[in-house]
Parts: sequence; C-alpha cells; structure tokens
Amino acid sequence: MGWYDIYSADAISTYRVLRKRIYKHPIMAIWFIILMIAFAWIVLRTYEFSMRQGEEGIFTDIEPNTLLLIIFFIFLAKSVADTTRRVAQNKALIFYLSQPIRKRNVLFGKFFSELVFNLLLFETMVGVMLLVIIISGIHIPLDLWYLGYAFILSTLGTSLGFSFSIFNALRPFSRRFIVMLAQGPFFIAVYSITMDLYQSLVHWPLFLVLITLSFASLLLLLLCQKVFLDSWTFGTSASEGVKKSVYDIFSRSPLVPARLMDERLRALVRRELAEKVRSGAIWGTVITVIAITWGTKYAIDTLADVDLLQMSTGKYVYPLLVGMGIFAVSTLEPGISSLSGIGREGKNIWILKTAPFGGSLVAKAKALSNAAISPLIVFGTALFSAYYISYYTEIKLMNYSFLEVAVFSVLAAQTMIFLFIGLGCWFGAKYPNFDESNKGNPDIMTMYIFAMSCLILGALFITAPFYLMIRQYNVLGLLAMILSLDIAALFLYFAAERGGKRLDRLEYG
Amino acid sequence: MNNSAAPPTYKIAIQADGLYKSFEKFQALSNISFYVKKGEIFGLLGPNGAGKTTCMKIFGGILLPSSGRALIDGIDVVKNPILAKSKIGFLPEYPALFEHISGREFLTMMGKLRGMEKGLTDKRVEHFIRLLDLKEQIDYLIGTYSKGMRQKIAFSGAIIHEPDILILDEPTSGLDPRFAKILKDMIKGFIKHDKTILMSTHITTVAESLCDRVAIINNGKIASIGTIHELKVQADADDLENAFINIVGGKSWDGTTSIPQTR
Repeated sequence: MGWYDIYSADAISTYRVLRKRIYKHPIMAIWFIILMIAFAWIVLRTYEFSMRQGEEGIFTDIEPNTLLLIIFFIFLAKSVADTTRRVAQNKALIFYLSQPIRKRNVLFGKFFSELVFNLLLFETMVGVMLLVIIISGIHIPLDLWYLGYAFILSTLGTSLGFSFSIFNALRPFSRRFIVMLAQGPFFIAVYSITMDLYQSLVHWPLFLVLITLSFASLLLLLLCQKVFLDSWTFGTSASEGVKKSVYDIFSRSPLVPARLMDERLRALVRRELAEKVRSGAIWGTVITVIAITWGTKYAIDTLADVDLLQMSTGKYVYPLLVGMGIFAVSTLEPGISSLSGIGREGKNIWILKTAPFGGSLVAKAKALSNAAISPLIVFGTALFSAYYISYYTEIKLMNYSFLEVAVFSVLAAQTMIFLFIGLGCWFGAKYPNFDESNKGNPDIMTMYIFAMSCLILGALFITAPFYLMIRQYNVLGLLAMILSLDIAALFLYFAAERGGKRLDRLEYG
Repeated sequence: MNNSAAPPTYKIAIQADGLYKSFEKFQALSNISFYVKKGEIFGLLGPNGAGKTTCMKIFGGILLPSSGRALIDGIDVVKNPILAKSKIGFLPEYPALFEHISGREFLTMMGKLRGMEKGLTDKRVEHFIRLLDLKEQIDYLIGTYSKGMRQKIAFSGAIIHEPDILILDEPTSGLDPRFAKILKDMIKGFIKHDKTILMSTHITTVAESLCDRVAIINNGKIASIGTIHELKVQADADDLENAFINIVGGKSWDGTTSIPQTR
C-alpha cells in the first residue's frame, strides 16, 4: 500500500460524504452555491470600490501584496486545523500505522490529500470569481501574475501548515521548539517576499523564488517523517493525571453560578469547561481572539493617517472594521464551537442520550459553556478596538464619546455572540458530523453556510441601531442596540430549545 | 414457550412489541417481540450483526424504532423517553468516555445527571473504588485508562444510581478473566435486589451462566425464546452452544478446510 492508496481512500471517502450530504439536503447545496456567488460578488465589488478610492488617494496602504499574505495565512490556518485533527490527533490512523506500510507513505498520502483539497478549494474560489466578473461586468483588471502568486502561496501555506501541525504535537516543548526552528526561515522569506512582491517591476525572479521555496518546504516533510510517529503518539494520548486546580477554578468560577442552574445543567457545563481547558482548546480561543484583535488594529492603523471622515462614505469605515473584527472572532470561536458541539461528542453521545433528560439540557449546556468565553471577545476585541479608535488613533468618531463607542461595541459583540451560539446550537444538532477522522468538525459546506448565515443574521440585528447612531440619534441607537441584545438572548434560548429537539430525534450508530 | 404475549400474572419490566428498525434499505430488526419479567436476567444471544445492539440501543433511547413499541416498566421509550430513561442504567458494548475528565469526575457527573445527592454520590464512588480496585487511577484522566479500566468506570457509571433495570450490551466483551468474573458476580448480586437485567451477548457460556431466559436472534428476527433448558430441548442439543448452532444454522469446522494459498 503506497501513499497514493491512502490519498485515494481519503478522496473517495470525502467524495461520498459530500455526495450523501447533497442528496440528503439538496436545498442546502443550492443555498451554498447562492451564498458562494453572493460572497464572491461582495468581495469583488469591495475590491473594485477600494481600487476606485485608491485612485483618489484613499486605501493606499492596503496593497495587493497584503491580500496575498492574507491568502497565505488562510491556507496555512486551514492546513494546521485539518492536519491536527486528521493526522496528528487522529486515532483512526492506527489502522494504517499497524500495517506493513512505510510511515512515510502514510504521511505523504495525508499530505497529498490536504494539498489536493486545498488546491481544489482555491480553484473553485477563482472559478466562481471569474464567473461573477463575467456575469456582473465588474471592472477588475485580471492579472495572471497575481493569480500565479496566489496559487503558489496557497500551496506554500498548505505545506508549511501541514508540517507545523506535526511538529506542534511533539513533546516536550524543547523538542518541539527545535524542529519548529526549521520552519522559521520559510515564514521570514514568505513575509519579506510578499511585502516587496507587488512593487517589483520584474516578476520572474520573485516567482521563481516562491516556486523554489514551495519545493524546499517539501523537504520539511522529510523532517516530519522522522518525528511523525512520536507526534502522533503524543497527539492521540491524554496527558498524565488531572490538572485538578484548573478544573476547580472553572467549576467554582462565577461563570457557573450554582444557585441559578439546575444541578444537571451545571454538571454538564462543568464538564464542557473542563474539556475545553484540559484539551487545550481554550488556548486556541485565546490565540484566535488575539490574532483577530491584532488584525483589526492593523486595519485601523493602516487607515489611521487618512482623513476618511471627510468623505461621504468614510464615516462607515472604522465602525465596519471593528464590526468585521467582532464578527470574525464571534463566528470562529463561540459560533463554530457551538456548531461542532454535537459532532465532537462522537461515540460519547451515548452518555447524553441514555441519561434521563431532554436534548435541550445538552444544547443549553453547550450554549452556556461557549457563552462563558464571551468576556474574552467583549473585553478583548470589542472594548480594545473601541478604545484604540477613540484614543490611540486620536480620531473622533463623529463627536461620539469613548463611553458611547465602547458601550455600543460591547453590546454589539454580545449580541453577535448570542446569535451565533444560538445558530450554531441549532445547525450543529441538525447537521452533526460524526466523522471520527475529522474529530466531529462540520464539513466545509456546512461551515461556509453557517458563516454566511451568521453574517446575514448579524447584519439584521446590528444595522438598525448602527444607522441610528450614525444619524446622531445616540440614545435611541444605544436603546435599539439593547433591544437587539434582548432579542438575541431570546433567539439563543429558542435556538437551543430547537437544537435540543433535534437532538432528541438524533440517532447514533 | 410463550414468546411474545405477556402473561398477566407476571410483572413485566421490559417489553418489545413488534419492533422494526431499518437503516435506509437495510432491515436491522424485523418484528421483534419479547418480554422480561421483573427480577429476571434476560439474554439476547445471536451472531455478529444479528441486531442485538440495535435492539439494546432502542431500549437505551439512542435509536428510534421504525415501528413497534419498546416499553420500560410499561413506559414507551419513544412517547415518554425521559421517564423511561430514569428507570434504567445503560452500558454499551464499547463505552466511549469523556477523555479529559478523571474517573472520579465522570462518576460524580453521572450521579448528578441522575439527580443524586452529592453525599450519596461520593459514598457510591468510594464503594466502587474499593470494589473494583480502582485506587489512585480514579483521579487520572480517562484518556490514560486501559480498555478494562474504562469498562469498569463505564459499568460503575451505569449502576451508580442503583437503577431498577440494567441494559448491558456485550458486558464481558474484551475483559480479562478476573474482571469478567467480578462483573458476572456483580450482575448476579444486582439481581438479588429484585432488579432486572437485559443483556446481549454472542458468547453462549456467558448466557448459560447468567441468564434465566434467552432469546436467540438472527438476521434481525427472533429465532427462539425460552429458558436454557427449553432451548436445549427444542434444538435437541446437550449444551447451549450446540443448541445455538442448530437454531441459527451454520457449520462446525470439519478440520479439513484450509486457507487458500496465495502462491
């Protein structure tokens, strides 16, 4: 059995899962296509708009190479997440590793699967965008060099993400750190090259350097091969003993208010929080919040020296940046976490299904445990961004006080968190993914539809209060935002109930 | 041998009444009917893929029947699942457990999920630690446990609230002989307190040593029901293993068949 057989098995299995999903939920597939086209249209229109503004001296700091770097990081992050759950932490790999197959073939087969799926995703995205350009007549000068760079960087992101995941599972930290040093030059090179990329008049040399880097990154696979078995062993085994103190801190924290909760609900929430902390998932949350907050700050910095507020559309830009930051972090963390809540239980679902309570208790426990991380987002992303805009950048947002901006941002963040958790609980119970090789995470189609639905739902709840604020009806705007928050909390409650009912009808095995 | 209709003189703890279950085109259960009397150990015996686990999962509330009724203490598991589940303890064949909590935390959680008082839960946990020789391992994460250790924790979790009815799917599967013996003794002890057990197995010796009555299930259908003695008489066999083969059908190895050579 060679690497190609392992890749084939992955490809066939993915194809069958996708086909089954489309046959089972054809309307969802159509909705997916509509959302994809709509998203491509929004992105292209925004790009066209920013290019037009660029001619007037605005958005001059956001250059095409920044977008290339973003593409690189998107594929890097996707590859890290996929490889961690499909390879480094995938217990089912025992079936390959216990066979007389070279572990190199297992590793290469899995890498090839990741690479092919990512390139297919890239090509689909490009194809849809071309289609939208042709149909809608959006004027964007097509640059083949740009597409070429994007293609190579997506490959490079995939390759570096794959090896990063394998190295990251190693223990102890010193060993992990040493092998990760081998990746350092690649990241430095990618950053340096993409920063200079689009100023260059001659593309060939840089293009060749990037291609060379891509092939060189494959050499990291040889290093991966050396540590693969150790990484997999560490990645699939739990740590020794119980980190009791951490569990107690969480179980006694005010996040789990004893007197307000049913004893069974509290037991379920405690267990969810203990799993989040001990599995290290909480660190992923912290890193995501920091990364997105940093990204929002970067976007604000990039635009800070331009007097946008003098323009007719300028007043929307800063609030939109903060809003997009809050949207991204709320979707990626409590949202996706709620979405994958049921699928992640996998075979453990028998414990919850055979206990004498309805599915709504399980859904509420998942919602509460995900809502427990909202202070991170509210104080991390929302409050920090509001503070940063109001003070550090010394930009007065249409004469609003910091307090008004901060209160509005915090309320908006909490509203989005409630909405996305509610939507995630319902979606997650309706379309759970019990695929063990994927660690129960939803497939890309479900995730995409979920993210787009979050965008629409978030916009529905935030637009009216935001409009009132922008028209200087400050008090009314804040009151409208409070009303939105109340309705969002109700939405969360009913979505969890609805998700619970789906869970009652859910069959496993 | 009365197979399906429940005689009025007995108190019935579990009853399957014309159960059907299909997965798309595959018919897993077909007209399954049996009853389990209170205080009885009833076994579902059958070959792999016969439909035993599907049947157990329906009683545990994990699967829904396509048609027919599954009753626990007279309560329909589909119409009133919460009340029905409050009467049972359930142990699946391969009990997956939460990896990032300790055995003690798992058992405490199971007690709370069943509405037990904290003091009583703690007492019961200590009891299981002594009985099953769990020792300091009880405070390690479940992810570090061996298969046998997981089975011990899962079994303790299934009976921590002292249910009236216990549903065990292949309870001795994969256990070392020492713990299998402890488990069998615990099952026998459990029944002394007027409790009821529905268990599935494909090991005839387990069924013979534990069960008061047995239903032989094959291809999703009940092939025969009765006491061990009745089944032996019916199949004209001197032990349950031969009775099982005679009823289900199949061949014994004649000692001559060999694995085809590849070269």
